[in-house]
Amino acid sequence: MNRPTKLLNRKTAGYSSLITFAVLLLAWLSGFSSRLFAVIRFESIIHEFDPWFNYRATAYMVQNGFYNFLNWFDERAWYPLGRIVGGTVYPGLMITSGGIHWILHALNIPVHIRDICVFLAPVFSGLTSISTYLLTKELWSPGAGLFAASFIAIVPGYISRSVAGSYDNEGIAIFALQFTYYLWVKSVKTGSVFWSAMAAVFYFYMVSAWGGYVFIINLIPLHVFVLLCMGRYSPRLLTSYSTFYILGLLFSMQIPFVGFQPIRTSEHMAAMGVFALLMAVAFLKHLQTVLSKTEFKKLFIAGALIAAGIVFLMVVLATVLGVVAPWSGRFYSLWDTGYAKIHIPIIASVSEHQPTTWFSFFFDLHILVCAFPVGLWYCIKKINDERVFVVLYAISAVYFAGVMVRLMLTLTPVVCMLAGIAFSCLLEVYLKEDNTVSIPKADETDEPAVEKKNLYDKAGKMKRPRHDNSHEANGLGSNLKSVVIIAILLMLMMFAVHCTWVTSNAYSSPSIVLAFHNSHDNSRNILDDFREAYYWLSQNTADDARVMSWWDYGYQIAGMANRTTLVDNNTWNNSHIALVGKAMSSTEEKSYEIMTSLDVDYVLVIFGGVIGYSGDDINKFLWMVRIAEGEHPKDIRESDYFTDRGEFRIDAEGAPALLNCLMYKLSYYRFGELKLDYRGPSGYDRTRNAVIGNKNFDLTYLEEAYTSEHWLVRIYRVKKPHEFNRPALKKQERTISSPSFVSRKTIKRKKGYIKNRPVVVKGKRANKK
Amino acid sequence: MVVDIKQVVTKFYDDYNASTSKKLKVVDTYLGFILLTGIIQFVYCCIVGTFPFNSFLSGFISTVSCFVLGVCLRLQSNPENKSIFQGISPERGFADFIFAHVILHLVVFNFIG
Amino acid sequence: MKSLGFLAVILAIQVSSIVSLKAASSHLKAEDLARFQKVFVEGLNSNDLQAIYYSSLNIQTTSEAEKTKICNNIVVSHAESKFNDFEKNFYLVGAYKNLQCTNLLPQQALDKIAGSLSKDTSTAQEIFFNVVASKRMNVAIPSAVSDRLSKAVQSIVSKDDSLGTLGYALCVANELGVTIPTLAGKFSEAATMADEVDGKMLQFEGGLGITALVINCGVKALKTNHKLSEVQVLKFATYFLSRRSVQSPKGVHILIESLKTLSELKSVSPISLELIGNGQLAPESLTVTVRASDLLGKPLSPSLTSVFGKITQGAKTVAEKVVFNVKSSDKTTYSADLASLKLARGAYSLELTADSYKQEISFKVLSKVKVQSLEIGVGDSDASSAIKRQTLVYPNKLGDVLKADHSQKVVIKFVLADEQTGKPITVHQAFVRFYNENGNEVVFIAEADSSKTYKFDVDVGQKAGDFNYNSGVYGIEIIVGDSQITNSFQWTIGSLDLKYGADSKTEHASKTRSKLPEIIHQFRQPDKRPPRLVSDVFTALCFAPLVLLFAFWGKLGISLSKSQFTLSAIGFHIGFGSILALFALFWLQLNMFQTIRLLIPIAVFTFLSGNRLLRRIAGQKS
Repeated sequence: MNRPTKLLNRKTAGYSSLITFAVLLLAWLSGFSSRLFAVIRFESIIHEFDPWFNYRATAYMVQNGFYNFLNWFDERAWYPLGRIVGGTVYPGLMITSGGIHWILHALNIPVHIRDICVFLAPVFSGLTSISTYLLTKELWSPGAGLFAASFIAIVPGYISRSVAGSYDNEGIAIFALQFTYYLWVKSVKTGSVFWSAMAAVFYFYMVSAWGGYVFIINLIPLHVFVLLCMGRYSPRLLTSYSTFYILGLLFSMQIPFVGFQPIRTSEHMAAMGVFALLMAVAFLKHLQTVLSKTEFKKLFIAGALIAAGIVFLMVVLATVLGVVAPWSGRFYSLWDTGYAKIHIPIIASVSEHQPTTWFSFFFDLHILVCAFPVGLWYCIKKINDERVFVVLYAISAVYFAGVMVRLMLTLTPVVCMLAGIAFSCLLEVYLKEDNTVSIPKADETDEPAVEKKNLYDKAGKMKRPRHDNSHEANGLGSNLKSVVIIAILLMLMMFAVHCTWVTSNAYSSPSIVLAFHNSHDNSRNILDDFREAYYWLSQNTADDARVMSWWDYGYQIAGMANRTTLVDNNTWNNSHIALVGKAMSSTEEKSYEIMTSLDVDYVLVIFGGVIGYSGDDINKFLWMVRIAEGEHPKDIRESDYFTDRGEFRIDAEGAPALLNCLMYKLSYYRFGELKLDYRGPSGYDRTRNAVIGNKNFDLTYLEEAYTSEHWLVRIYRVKKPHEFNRPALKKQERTISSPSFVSRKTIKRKKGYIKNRPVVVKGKRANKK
Repeated sequence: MVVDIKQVVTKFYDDYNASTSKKLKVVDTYLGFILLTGIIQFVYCCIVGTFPFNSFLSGFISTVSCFVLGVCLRLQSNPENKSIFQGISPERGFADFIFAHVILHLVVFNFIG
Repeated sequence: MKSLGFLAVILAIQVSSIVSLKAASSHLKAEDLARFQKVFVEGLNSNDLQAIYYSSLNIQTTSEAEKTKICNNIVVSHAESKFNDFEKNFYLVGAYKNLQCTNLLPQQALDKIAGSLSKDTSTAQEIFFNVVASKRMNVAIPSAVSDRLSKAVQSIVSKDDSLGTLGYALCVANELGVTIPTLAGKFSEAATMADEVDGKMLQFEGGLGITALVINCGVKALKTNHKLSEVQVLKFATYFLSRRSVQSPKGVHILIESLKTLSELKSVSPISLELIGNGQLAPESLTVTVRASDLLGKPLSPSLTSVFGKITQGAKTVAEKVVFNVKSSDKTTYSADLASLKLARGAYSLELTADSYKQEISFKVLSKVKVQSLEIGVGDSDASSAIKRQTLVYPNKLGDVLKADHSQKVVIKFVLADEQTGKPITVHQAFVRFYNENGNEVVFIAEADSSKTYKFDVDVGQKAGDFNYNSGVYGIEIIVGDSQITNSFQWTIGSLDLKYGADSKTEHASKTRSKLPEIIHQFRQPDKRPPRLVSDVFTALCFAPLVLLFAFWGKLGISLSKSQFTLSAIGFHIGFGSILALFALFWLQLNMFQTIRLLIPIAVFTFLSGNRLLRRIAGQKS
């Protein structure tokens, strides 16, 4: 190359890196700021349920050190069983925020660990967009990468899991996922041991952060396998995969929660099989290069015999070692969507485990869901090793997202990448001649400006011959071009607006604090009942008081009230949850037995009938019944809680079992006296739009301890046995029925009998001799 | 049949001696050493059992990964593969090899208990 | 030494015109009187002024020395007494008079008594005590004083309507011998408002003291004007009789006084009709004996003209008009011989009519039981073979020890019969008891079938839990008991050798009251490690290939001479070596964080020097 072109190249390279930097920075900033709605509207608090546990665990780790955290036995959860937290948690999240906390404090920046937890997810979303950029760049082009980075920064499907305060595994896991994939693609491309070792390191980070690592450890072997099937084997593939697999295997076993699963369970077996297969293929290929064809044939027969022997030995070994464990239930529910509903109601009861609706696809991805197939088509059309990967990624992620709402999260990055590719290609076609197109007016919003820069960037890369010659012939009218470009820009703008709207409306509620608009004076009211009640618990109950609630609220009670709970969101013990469900769905008397056997001091229920909050315990009640029925089919039957016509009603026509169960009584205790409206009847439930069926009842075994301002949280104290009068027995019930004596005397057999327990057995008399 | 195989093996050995560079031979020897160690470990686990499972695993996986990394090194430093591994010189390969070993054995020692 | 000092004064009891008047079911008996005597003797010797007074009212002491001692004692007690002045003065004077003491009384007390009547007092109680004390001191009460006092009492009563005040007011009226007009009405009002206990007794709130005070003084003061009905009198009398267990001298005195007062009532005095004995009539002597007396246990006068009874069993009338004859030796005892009625075993009730009084008495006719037959045997519990039975006659014992194991059962069959009639009967309690020498026992209930045969079997295997799986020799005993038989018995019929298998013998200790064993967290037991030699051998074996490696490398001609001794090369080798050393340290003692902290600088150094070294090598090559 002569000097001037080199200079020119250097100049464009300088511009493009500046633009790249600027775009990524803006993407990071816009992504970060759009995740702050919750913090601005409410305050810097931890959201929802699981984040409370993560926060509590992080605080514990920061306070007591990492090794104590790993050995932490939490006796305040799952009373009376307790929970081995260190061994049942993915510690990556805690380590990350703990590490940040440590670094900041080492730099003398005193930040409370809670703030780090709150802002961790938004910060990591920026890292995610960078890693998405890198991955897309490897797969297609830097331009497409910038598109993808901008998309992922604001796409609602990802924001839903990473708003400020949503301190959950997914927040950092998506970054780890994307970066692992980037390193993997990079290592496949170069065949470098370094990159695959780095991929293994990030895979380790992913394992430590989220159970979704299984997705990686199945997708990458699938990629390798498909490449092998397509006859695309190369020594590069061997070096990258074998290094990645063997290091990743070893690394993943360092997480206590994962343990020996990678060599024991069938979820991980595919990776091992592909490793063996790859080794075999490589060996054969090597022989092929060394030997002549006839020799190869001869050796092949011998080799096949030896291989068969080895496989046989391996099978024997596997049986000796106790075989690999079968699929776990949660995993199985991914294949058969009906499975969970029948066999594991506890999984089906969570709304985010429901199958995804079409609406939510559009809601979370908007225009990207349309552009995504286009990108996919481009990738298939111009296939190469790494694009095989993205195709597989896309197909599997679409499937999983369709099965479970929650897994929408894994789909989102690939959709962003493919949509980025699609837009980039589209603009390439339509901007080809306008190499020097000017930047549109600067008064646009932040987001379209980002896209504009992408366009500019694209122009710089136009010179690649590959892109050039394919579209050379298609001459398009400049009017048509500008119409298309404006249409695309409008669409992207609408996307940005949609993203902001969805984020602010749907995903920025902490669900600890509720907000509603008062239609009269258009003011925004804050309902802080949860924190009010949890604070009451922490101030007014004994330190070791045991609080029974449905498992959803376990983490919050532990985190905010610091009280012992019976069940929580870590649903590891189904029968314990079923016992609580049984207590909630039995009559007061029966559940008192259960509660005393579990040493319950307080019962906490969520009741939304006053303010019309639909996520309350009565609406979840059928799941409690179902879960209880799964373990105690004799005592609890779901059909008892429906009316004859199969309806779930809480009014006077409701099933008697429902109207007398503990949950109903606790929810509606004294509610019958409450008139919400001047005109309306008393005891009118706003959530279910009905007048309750059982109004005037008293509690015998419990007493109301606390009801929050809007009745959202109601806490009852379980009376001790000496504190209540046993309910009066009717006169005819007072006799003690003789213990089931049946006379076996007949005319033929008139012999005497011994009564059921007719025996007066005296204690041993020591000194009678 | 046996003669054939013997013939093939002899030819293979001769070819190998003649056409392989000294550097590769060193690597091959290393691979042989690792393979032997792995076999001994395997025999041990068959005879005695795998009781401290993490220790056994870390030892065995360490052997396997050393072998795998050795294979990678051999592939990368084989002049025949130069076209496939563009931008990776044998020296780069060796550096990668060292790097992978360092992080590998950090974890192995953590795991061995 | 001391003799009973009170006199019974019942002379005439008029037969009431009301026919169906119930009689009291008890009276003061000799043992009660003996106990009262003891209470008084103790009271007389105590240091309590009140006790001495009431005791001295009832008993006298004959010995002069004792009298002197008590007389001195009362003066001392008077000084120490915590009672009100008027009350302790009263006791002092009363006891002094009763004991006929001769020593001097404290002048101060005498002065007080002398002046007491002239001053105004606010309570009826004080007036009463003052009046009585004055009377004891033989101070004359002029009619003017008497009028003034009765007026004062009247005004007190009109202000204070408590029962105590009423009682003392009545007492004052009685002592003064005056009639205070409002008292009669108040008295009958109070009597109608008395508390009724179980429909049998009447009492005033405040117990024996108040009740006795009101009734005693009321009846005495109002004479025939008391307006108490027969039923009320009976119920009060029943109440007083129910309080016979009273322990203080005052209580005993007022009890006796009240009963005496009620007995002396001309028109409505109750009598006591009572069964003598425990009401259980043995078949040999079927005689029912009753006692008719007044409340104090004295014979009635005039004596009863006719006593007869009606005997019923349940709703069935067995005999009408059974005549009871007075016993010649004891005028209070009436008896009737029921032998002619041929009463069967069972419970009966007797409705007794004595002139106008009636009383319900229940009695039982007993019988004797005998064992008519008894069979005992051991057989297979699945009844596959006939059971060999042995018969046994009461009170013999089986000669040989029966043997049974868990597949067998023990069968006992017996018939109980009335000795007189010879008919089979069932008894209230029939048990079969197994016991061994360790003191363990198992009691089974034997039940009779419709033919009144007791058939009893115990399946040894099924009841193993009751026997605590203890093999060994058990004695067998039959226990027969009933309140209507005279000869309940306990009969050891033999012994039984039970055999349980050794495996079924488990400890069934009760855990309900004892501490449960502490739950200790158990870690998984580590697997057995291989012997030291094997692991050592394999350790050596693992090192063997390393030797081979170096041997081969040597053969291939690697020599260190070719490597350059540049700075970077040395740095690289040192760095790499120190990383290996660090790993060894990590294995032995460091933790992950410390290791990484050390590793980072070493790694950076090694990387830099290695980078330079390799670059040079690559440069040399090209």
